[in-house]
Amino acid sequence: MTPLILMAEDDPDIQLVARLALKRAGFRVEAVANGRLLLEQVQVERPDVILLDWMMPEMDGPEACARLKADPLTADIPVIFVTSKSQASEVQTGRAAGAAGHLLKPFDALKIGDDIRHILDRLGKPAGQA
Amino acid sequence: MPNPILDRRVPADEFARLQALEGYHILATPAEPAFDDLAALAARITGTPIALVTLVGGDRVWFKARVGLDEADTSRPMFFCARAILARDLLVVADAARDEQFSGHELVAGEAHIRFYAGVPLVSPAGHGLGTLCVLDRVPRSLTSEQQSALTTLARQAMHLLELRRLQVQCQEQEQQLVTILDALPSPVILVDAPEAHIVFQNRAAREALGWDTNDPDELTLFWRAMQVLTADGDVVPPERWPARRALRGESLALESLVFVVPNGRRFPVLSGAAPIIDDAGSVVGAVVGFQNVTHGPEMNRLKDDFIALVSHELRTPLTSMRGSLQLLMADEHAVPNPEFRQLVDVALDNTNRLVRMVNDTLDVAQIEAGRMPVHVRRTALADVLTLVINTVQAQAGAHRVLVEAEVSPDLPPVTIDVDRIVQAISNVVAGAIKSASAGTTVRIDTASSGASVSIHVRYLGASIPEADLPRVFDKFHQIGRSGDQGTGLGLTIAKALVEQHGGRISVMSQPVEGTTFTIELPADRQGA
Repeated sequence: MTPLILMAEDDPDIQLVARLALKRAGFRVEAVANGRLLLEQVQVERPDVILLDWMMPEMDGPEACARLKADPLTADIPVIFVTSKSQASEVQTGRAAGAAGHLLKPFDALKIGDDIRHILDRLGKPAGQA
Repeated sequence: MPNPILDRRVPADEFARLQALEGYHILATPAEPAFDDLAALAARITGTPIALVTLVGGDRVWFKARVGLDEADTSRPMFFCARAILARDLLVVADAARDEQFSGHELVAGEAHIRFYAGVPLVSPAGHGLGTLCVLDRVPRSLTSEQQSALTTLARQAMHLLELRRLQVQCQEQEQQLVTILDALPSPVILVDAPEAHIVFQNRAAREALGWDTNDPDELTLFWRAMQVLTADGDVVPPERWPARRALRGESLALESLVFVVPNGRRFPVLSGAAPIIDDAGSVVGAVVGFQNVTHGPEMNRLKDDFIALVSHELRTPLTSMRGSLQLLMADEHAVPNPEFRQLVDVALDNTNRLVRMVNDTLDVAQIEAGRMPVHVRRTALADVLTLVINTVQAQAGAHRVLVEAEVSPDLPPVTIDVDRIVQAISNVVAGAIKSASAGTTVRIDTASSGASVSIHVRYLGASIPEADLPRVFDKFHQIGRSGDQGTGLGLTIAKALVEQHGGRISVMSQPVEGTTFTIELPADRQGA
């Protein structure tokens, strides 16, 4: 089964590039523009992994992550931040919110799929090859 | 008495003459002893009761100096001096009452009863008749030729005096201008004179910085006698080594870090520079000392770091979609089949990658300097670190036709480090070496351990670094040589910062023949080794 990625990213250009890059890497991709829409979408179809931008309108990444982790139904879905926020305090905030990883923008469009698989492998939740 | 002829003739240069006279700033000014003395001397020599130094204005003739006359000025038409500057020569009027050119003037027809006049025009260096030195009497008379000649000489002296006075006024104006400029400067500036370095002037910023609001020379001398200057390390700098004294010995000083301790005990760090003031003859006549209180430096640095972080972050968003788009285009051979267009996309991708590197490096420097770089340390063997380094630089080495070889001594103790960061630091150094190494040579990485530290040496042969540049090699944006390579000028800065963050040190030695060696020292982890 092709693993499903649910992504929240408010920049439409980045959303498009990420969608194509992840499709190329063998994932199915659903993308929304902020954390609130992500919490809705996660109820529609349960993803294998969630990618979160940090700064978004309406609900930012850390809050969405915290809410996902607080809900027993979504708590075990791995969350990875994909963000330009790379300062020590921010990486720690992300980890404290329960994130499984932190990918830095600008991400490598040809490697991002492998990076996500690598994080999932480490969690013991291999996403498999397409 | 009637005025048969009112002589209103003026010199041909009247307009320029009046302007020149204005430039002397002397009309309607109080008496000055130097001019009074000349007038008194003129009266004594000619034996007349009245002598004047006059200035011929537009309507009035002003008496700058006067002996034996109460009036301070008089009307210009029909007055002797107005005629004397027309003639540009000694004018003698033996009996004004009998000369209808002058008989109607108020000093002749009125109570003053002037009858005799002899005046020599005061001609400026530019050739304008400004006024006269003249002698007058209430009875008709004449002057001997010696007296006339003496009067002419005295007139020349009066003109010299006027000229000196003008230059003095000009100097005062310039000085005032200089003071205004210096006081408007935000940076403290101090002027001292030779040879004793007495303070001549401190601008407003200097008075404020030092907390001593005076320009009184005696007070300043006392103040500076009680001042102390320390090096950045806190050693006392003897007064003969202070910037002012060194500048008075002819030295021009670049900015150096010092600490000023003012007499009330307050101390603050400064950057101070100085330069000698040299006169036309080449002698040092004084010195200018500038300094900047750098107490607030850290605050400025923090603002700068925040700014860099913000800009770098904002740049990353568009870079993410640019680079991703180009990567995906290039990854699919069918997306851009035309080879020339593929080349163009490749150029765009290369340059986007370069921009990404610059943004990353800039942000790294800002974060390291601000102490906000994430660090995750673990105990590691250097051999593993160097393997990662070699992997990182391999492609670049190939492109430069340079080999990279690493040799790790077997007895090396482990190190406790953030592996990613130390790999980044060593890779930056090796990448710099690859760029500077001659094609076909080998960049060698070897290790050594001594006591509490392990060292990693990166050696290469290529253009050596000039000795003068060695201290600047790790400075931001300093590029070794001009390789034209697409470096960011931050690689070694980042390497140094990362190594120092780990409690280590980085240094460089360079010789034309032996080549260049970068040495990174890291604290060894002896626990259980």
